[in-house]
Amino acid sequence: MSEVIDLAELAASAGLEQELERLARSHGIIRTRQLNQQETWTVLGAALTRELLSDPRLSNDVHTHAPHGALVPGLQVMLLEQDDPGHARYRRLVTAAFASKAVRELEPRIEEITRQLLDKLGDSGTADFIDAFTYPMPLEVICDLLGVPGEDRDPFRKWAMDISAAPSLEAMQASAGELFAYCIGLIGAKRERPTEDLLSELIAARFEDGSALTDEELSSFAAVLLIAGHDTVTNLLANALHDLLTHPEQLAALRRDPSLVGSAVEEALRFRGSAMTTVNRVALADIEAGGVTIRKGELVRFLLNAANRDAAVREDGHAFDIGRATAQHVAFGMGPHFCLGQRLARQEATIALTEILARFPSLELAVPEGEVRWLASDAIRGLEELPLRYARESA
Amino acid sequence: MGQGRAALCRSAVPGSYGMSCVRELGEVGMRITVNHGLCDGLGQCALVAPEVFSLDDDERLVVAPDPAPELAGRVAAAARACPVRAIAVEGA
Ligand code: HEM
Ligand code: SF4
Repeated sequence: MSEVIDLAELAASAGLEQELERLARSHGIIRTRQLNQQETWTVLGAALTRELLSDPRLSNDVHTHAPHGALVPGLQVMLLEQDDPGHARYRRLVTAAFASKAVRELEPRIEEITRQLLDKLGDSGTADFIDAFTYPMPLEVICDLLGVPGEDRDPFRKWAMDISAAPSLEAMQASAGELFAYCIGLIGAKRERPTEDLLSELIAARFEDGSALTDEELSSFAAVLLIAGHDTVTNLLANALHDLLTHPEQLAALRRDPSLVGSAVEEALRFRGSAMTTVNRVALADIEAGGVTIRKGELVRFLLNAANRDAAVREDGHAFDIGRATAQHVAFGMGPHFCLGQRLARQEATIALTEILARFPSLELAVPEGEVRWLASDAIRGLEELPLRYARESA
Repeated sequence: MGQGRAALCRSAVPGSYGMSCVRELGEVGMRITVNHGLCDGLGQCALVAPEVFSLDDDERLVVAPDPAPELAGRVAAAARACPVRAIAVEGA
């Protein structure tokens, strides 16, 4: 198997998932080329994904073992680019903030943000729902949670897009630098004047041995939460709306029975999750997997959107069916790096879909289905824009 | 007896630091300790070793009493899959 796939190129079409599943039928694992021209092993099959995502021979600490595989060269990303036991030590500091109870308490605020954004759309019209809703909504939520002042929030979309759906290495590095510098400044301000938010809590938090997070650790924490907690949700919501609108019978079923919203969110995650690929792992030893040998030092990443369509798990994986018994999907990853914010993400998606559908009995794509443009990204699965025509009265 | 232990484990409430429950795999001499104060109810352990770990309706972790010795390897893997390392396994 000598073919090296350029994922970003493939991603520019709606057919990416079908193509990946076709590839997965012959190879559980393929070679892909990354933004920095590095080649990596890329795991497609569901069984192999489950097995390898908890395999201790794969390390997330690429900065130590394979610096060319880093998300942003020279900047080790909190949690995602760490191994245990250090990773768990940090993660324990933030679990409470993303536990069920804490997330339930955010519900009224998420509803308020949602309604305010929908109010701005008026009674009817045409708008890019990414611009008008799916981008600002999760950004407001995560910035509220962390304590980023309202007037500072403008550059975040560009930073997030440059970092996770990077158009180029230079853009990514520049934006990551700006984001980290911003976070350092914010931490300084909060040290002087603590407020009631997660960042102030993290500044006050102590490890079991009594030590505190350094400024560098704090800014890395803030940065990972702001990025991981924002454009993943933006793109998932847009994908979910797109997939519902292009499957009218599914949309009708959801409108008839709004209590299906939870399973609609799960199916949206499975069908076209937004965190398409995981961050890189590096092999700490030779690993035999899926009929190939991953050599010590080689990079490995996981294509979750391929695993979620694996025909070995469900025969009709390409069907979008919100009524399916919610079989396990891996849209939030698995194992030690399982998404920290999955409860928050599910809650945001549930509230957003519920409110949008209730508000607009008439909602449709404002461009022909084949004309929506998909992000040419190898990391984030999403749309360039989502032009929708909406009205409060059904037409 | 096993039932009694499971009940004890279930009653350990997340957030209460240091609450832990212990399971012993007699023949291989393996000891499983779950720190319920750390456990976030994410169920990653249960995906790896469902015979031993499961979550109840309140997302509290339940450890099966007297797990079969041949599950030792999976139990160790389940402990590694936990994002907060709430499961400790000794003497495997
Ligand atoms: C639909 C939305 C989301 C999706 C699809 C998603 C997906 C994922 C995936 C696949 C991973 C694992 C990556 C890997 O193993 O390399 C992950 C990790 C993570 N996610 Fe999410 N995520 C979402 C929303 C959020 C939100 C709202 C937050 C909130 C702050 C968040 C914070 C994180 C963090 C901090 C990690 C790193 C965890 C670790 O390494 O221990 N995510 N996410
Ligand atoms: S993986 Fe860890 S946090 Fe999750 S249920 Fe198991 S022990 Fe608890």
